[in-house]
Amino acid sequence: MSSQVFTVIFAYGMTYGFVVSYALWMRSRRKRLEDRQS
Amino acid sequence: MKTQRIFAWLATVALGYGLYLAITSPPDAVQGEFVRIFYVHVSTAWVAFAAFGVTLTGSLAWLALKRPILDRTAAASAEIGVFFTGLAIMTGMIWGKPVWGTAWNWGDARLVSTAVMFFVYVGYLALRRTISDKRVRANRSAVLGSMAFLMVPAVYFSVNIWRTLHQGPTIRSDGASMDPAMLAAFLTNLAAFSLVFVALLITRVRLELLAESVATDEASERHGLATPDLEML
Repeated sequence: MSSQVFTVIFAYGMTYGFVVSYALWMRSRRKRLEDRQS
Repeated sequence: MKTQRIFAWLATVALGYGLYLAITSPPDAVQGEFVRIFYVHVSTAWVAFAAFGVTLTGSLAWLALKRPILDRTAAASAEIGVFFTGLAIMTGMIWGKPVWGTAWNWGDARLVSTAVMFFVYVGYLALRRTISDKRVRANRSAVLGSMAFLMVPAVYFSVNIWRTLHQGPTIRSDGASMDPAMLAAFLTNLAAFSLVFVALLITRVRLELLAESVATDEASERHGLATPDLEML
């Protein structure tokens, strides 16, 4: 039972983690580009 | 920027609600708690299909209208599609290991066709990096972006054509055979990930346009500096 729950937590953590990381990468790249532009 | 923020907030709220429904929905009689992985697995696969659909539309529209924004949208969507295909494969493997007894099966039509689709679109992104001329790059990648979409129906119908390990479609023409609470969690996560896709797509296209604008500014600055040097010679 607990191994099932941990597997589910891992799957959700990985999915949400990657999505948030991708969004944050875009944000930091935008800031770097804006700095270069100014 | 305002539209981008609205979609980002909507996506965050929808993801939170989707997570809540996924946690509170009942466990499956056969799969137990593992059924909850299915809500994110199908949603990520759906976003990948939708993203490749946008790439197809953008590619065809570029070939017809030759507007740069259409090419950039196609490219941004392909990147997001590859990202979500990767997530769908990984969540599928995490689910498959305990439920099927194996994380990967080379004899399975859905798994192998999805892997092929992933690499076809990685090839699309690689092609874009090999051509510096924007117009040539847009033309060639539009042709590949249109042809690559053939992989989407191939992946989707693979479970109907070949009866291998992967189960058939979840929503069928005769209705979904699912508990209402599970169906609510499934559909909410599908909608939430669709909002995530829209938010990421808007952000990615704007980022690409900003990068091009910065590159153009820097190139013209270099040109401006080079001219006096040439005059001195």
